[in-house]
Amino acid sequence: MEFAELIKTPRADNVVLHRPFYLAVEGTLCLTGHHLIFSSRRQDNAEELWLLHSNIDSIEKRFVGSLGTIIIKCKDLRIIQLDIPGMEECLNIASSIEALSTLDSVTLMYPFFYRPMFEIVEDGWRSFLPDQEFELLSSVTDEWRLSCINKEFSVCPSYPPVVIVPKSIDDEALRKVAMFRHGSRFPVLSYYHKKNGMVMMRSSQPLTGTNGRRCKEDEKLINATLRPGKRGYIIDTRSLSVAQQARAKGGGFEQEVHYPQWRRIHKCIERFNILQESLIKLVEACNDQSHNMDRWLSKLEASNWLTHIKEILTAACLAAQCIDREGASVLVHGTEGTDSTLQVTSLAQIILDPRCRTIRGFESLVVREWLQAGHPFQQRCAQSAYSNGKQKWEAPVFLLFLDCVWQILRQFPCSFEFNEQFLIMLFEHAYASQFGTFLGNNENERSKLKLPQKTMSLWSWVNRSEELRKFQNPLFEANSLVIWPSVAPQSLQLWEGVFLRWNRPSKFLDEAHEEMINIIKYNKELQAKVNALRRQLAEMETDDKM
Amino acid sequence: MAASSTPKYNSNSLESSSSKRMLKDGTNWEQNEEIPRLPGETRVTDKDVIYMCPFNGPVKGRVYITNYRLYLRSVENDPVVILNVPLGVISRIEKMGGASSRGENSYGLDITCKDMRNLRFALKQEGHSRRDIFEVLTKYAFPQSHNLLFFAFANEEKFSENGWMVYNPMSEYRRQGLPNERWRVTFINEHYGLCDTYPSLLVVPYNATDDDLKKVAAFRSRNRIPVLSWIHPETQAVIMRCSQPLVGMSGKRNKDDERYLDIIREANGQISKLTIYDARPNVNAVANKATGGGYEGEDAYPNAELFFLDIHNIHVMRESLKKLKDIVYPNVEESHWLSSLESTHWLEHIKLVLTGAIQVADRVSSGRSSVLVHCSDGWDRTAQLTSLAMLMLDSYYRTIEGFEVLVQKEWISFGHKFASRIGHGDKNHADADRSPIFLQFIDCVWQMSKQFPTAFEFNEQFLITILDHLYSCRFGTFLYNSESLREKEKVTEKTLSLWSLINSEKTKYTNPFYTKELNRALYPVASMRHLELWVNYYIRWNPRIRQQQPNPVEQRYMELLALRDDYIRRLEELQITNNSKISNSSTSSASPSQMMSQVQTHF
Repeated sequence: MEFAELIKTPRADNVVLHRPFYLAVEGTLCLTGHHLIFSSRRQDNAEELWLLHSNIDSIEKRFVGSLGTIIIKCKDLRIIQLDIPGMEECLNIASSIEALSTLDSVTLMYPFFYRPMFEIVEDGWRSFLPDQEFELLSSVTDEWRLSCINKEFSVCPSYPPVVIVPKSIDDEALRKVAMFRHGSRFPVLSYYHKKNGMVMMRSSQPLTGTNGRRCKEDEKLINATLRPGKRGYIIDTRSLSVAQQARAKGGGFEQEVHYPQWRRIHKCIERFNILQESLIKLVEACNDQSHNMDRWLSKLEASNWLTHIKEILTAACLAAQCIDREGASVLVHGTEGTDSTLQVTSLAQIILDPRCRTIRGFESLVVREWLQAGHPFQQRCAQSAYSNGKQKWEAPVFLLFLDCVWQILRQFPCSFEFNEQFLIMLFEHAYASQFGTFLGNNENERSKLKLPQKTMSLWSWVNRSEELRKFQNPLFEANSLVIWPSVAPQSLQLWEGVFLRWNRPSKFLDEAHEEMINIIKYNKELQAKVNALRRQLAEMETDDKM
Repeated sequence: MAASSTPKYNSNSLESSSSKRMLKDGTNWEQNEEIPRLPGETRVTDKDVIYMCPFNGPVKGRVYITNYRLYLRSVENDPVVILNVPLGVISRIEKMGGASSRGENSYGLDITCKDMRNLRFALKQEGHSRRDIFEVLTKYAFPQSHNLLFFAFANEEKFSENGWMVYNPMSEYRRQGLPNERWRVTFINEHYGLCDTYPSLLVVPYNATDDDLKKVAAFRSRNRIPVLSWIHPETQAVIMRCSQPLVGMSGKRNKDDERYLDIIREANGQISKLTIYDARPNVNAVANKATGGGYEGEDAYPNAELFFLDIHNIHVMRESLKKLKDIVYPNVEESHWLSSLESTHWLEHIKLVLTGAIQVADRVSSGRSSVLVHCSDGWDRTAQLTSLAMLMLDSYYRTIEGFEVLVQKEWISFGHKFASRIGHGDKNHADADRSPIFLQFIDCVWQMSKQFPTAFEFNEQFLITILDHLYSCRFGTFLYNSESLREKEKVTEKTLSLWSLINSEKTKYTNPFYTKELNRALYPVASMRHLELWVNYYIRWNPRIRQQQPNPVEQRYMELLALRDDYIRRLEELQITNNSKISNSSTSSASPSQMMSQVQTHF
């Protein structure tokens, strides 16, 4: 397909761009296969706006006489308005944007066309391989093994080719366990707590059904992680009643009689459309321009967004608490094990493991616990808060995870190597990107699309020092402790950096941040000079002796 | 399966450390001494009690009462639980339970505080065990009701700075460039003869005679005539403050007042109308006519434009804070936190005050027009509006010293009735005159400091310290209703100023992010979306709410600054040694002094 067929009016002049907090700008609008480009050549403030079509969530058009207006709402929540003279031009442009922003074939997406302008120092596709992770693990324990049972994605389509499982369980047993778990997602290692050797595993629900099926290998597998005489905890991310209802459809939960060494705790985390509606309501409230703002807090509450944050964080804290304080191993699952399960396992690691609070460690966490673990990014992030279509699969699961990380970051401002911008950047790229990292729903699809060969990895770009600099937290001081966030409603706040990002002047907050970066840079310079003088002094002393 | 033994994540946090909190107020506190004591503080009594801690349950301890504070130290807990409460914060002391009350710990004292908490002590139910402690507490917590002096008059602390010297009205007006050819200083109120709630020194239009002022005073509630608070250095537009005109039901007019306002309008040479901001809601202003008050009508003041700012009165604010306390103490409302917070209307009131101040500031700065601000008496809402507008317009007031001057000037000298609003040492806890107007002002300042993290020289601790001593009665700063009363009581001679404490250890109250910047007007965003509840103040007693004191970001940044100073010092040392070596060995190498100058110009 040629993009040109979709672009009837590639260029329009005298277009006026409106954005909140900025003066309207007149300029030229150009459409390309993947971008909407607005450029203003005015001498006092020449500027260019590049917008990926895939970032566009919805588009509205209006006409007053022959002046057309297009309102573009983006997945990163920004709203811009373009006034385009000429009805035909406006209609053409609107229909092109509509078509180009809803391409249904992944291979037509920008990452397949993007050619980086920077030198690739490190191939991000090879930055976080399971073997490396396993090597780290092997240095502290020999109770686990790397299984290649899923090499051709034949056992579990949503798992990566290699997974870490208890050493005592052979591939034959794993095959049987896979038959007993929803979508074949058998329990695998998610996290090993070095401090006490306890582990966190994740899986999908067991297929017990109404007649209480059991699977001895499944029981054996998870029992293999327990110390003699010790109990473990199963954290089910559904309410008890939802878990019970799941039995009617062949799903279910671990029966006490068959898992006597395990205690099951139900921590309800909402999913799919409930989360999507919550996001829509929240963004509506944030964009409400009416002057009567007296109901703001009620609207914020009614969106339930912060309640979801609280639920997710509470479940993650609980998992972390079982491991660190109770000294017990934990298995986390909901239904499919691809959404709320991953929120819980990844956040628990941020709480427990200082490595996950570094930039590289966090990237590795996103790769392991989200990308390789098979969170269906393609489905979940197809649309954002302005979508009208009620597609069933969209949900801001990953955004909620990032928001939870931001809440912890806000409470422990010196414990993270990365800053808020880093999280916002990940949010943007999960929804629309020039990189292939978040394309596809799992490793299987990614390998079929040959993403590592045909697209650039987000990590190749981010991990270059000139980019990294933007994402570093100047106040970072490695904190080797477990950090326990407060989940009281007074401690949780709206993430302004995402939700009010386009509705607030952030100049002054940026200034304070700049100030900190400067002082650190300055301190480094000073230190270098102190060292240089010391050396000089030492040299002179040795000269003296000679 | 959900048995009692399943672990549960504490809904608040796992900060289980303790509820041990000490007032960080520079108290002399030696390890081996039983209780901290200030010079001039004397022990009165002590007793074994059970402190009914709302967070950790009953705590056995001994309570010590002095003429300044109530101090409790637990006897069994580890870590030790300590309560250190200046008696001035006590609003009400009640006996709970009777001699025949049943149930554990049902007999004792219930203390309501002005700073968002209550204290409850249980005593043994025998032989009137609480009578003496109740009497002692009542006596020292409410000295005004017992013909006793405030502790401030007994306080013998010594400080390296004298806070009473911070504010000198003459030098503050000079700083503003006054008097000038259009504005003059008048001593007409030297003995408070014109207006007993105003300061002795006033700035008025040059073209108005003292006789004119007297005539205007007759037409303004409590003689609070329009006087200058602040003049814009460039536009020469001014902020004036006053009380409402005495219009009454019959719609009285006063030629002198009308002419006086016109003189004010003309003083900065403007042709446009004078802007009058009436802080009240329109209906309240109308209703005030029934009691002889009112507002400037269009017919009488054709050269003025009047706007109402819809800020509610002291009673509404008091009720709002009471509701806020209900949802944060002792237990924080969890299930519908945001809508509960909304129903207190506290943030909405903050928004209205800030919005009003922004309008005043914008009018003076961008509109280049003089403004007149009043409410009914001109000592509550008016003080909030003028002081906040001045804070937005004049960066001097954003320094520690400047802020002290601002409080001293717009609040203390212009007769905000601190004694009545706070009820210092007064047992009438239900007095309708009490209202958290000053707290609301400090909250507005905090909201601004959140939005402009580099603009203020002071930190959050500074604001909290001011609020703590608003109630403590340890300093004379906030005592009494007016300058004339303070003079009568010889407050500056017999008591210490709060600013002495603060200015003696300024680093503690300094915001490390502060970057000095002159003459930038700051307009905060007063939308509800950008206002936050000041959790570190209103919910500070709750140990489960995460609050890290001092603020970790501030602390880390201070460390970085200290590191910088250390590097610079070491650089200097090395350079000196190097230089001497160089001159000794006369080797030619890169000049270290060049290096040094490079480094220094950076900051």
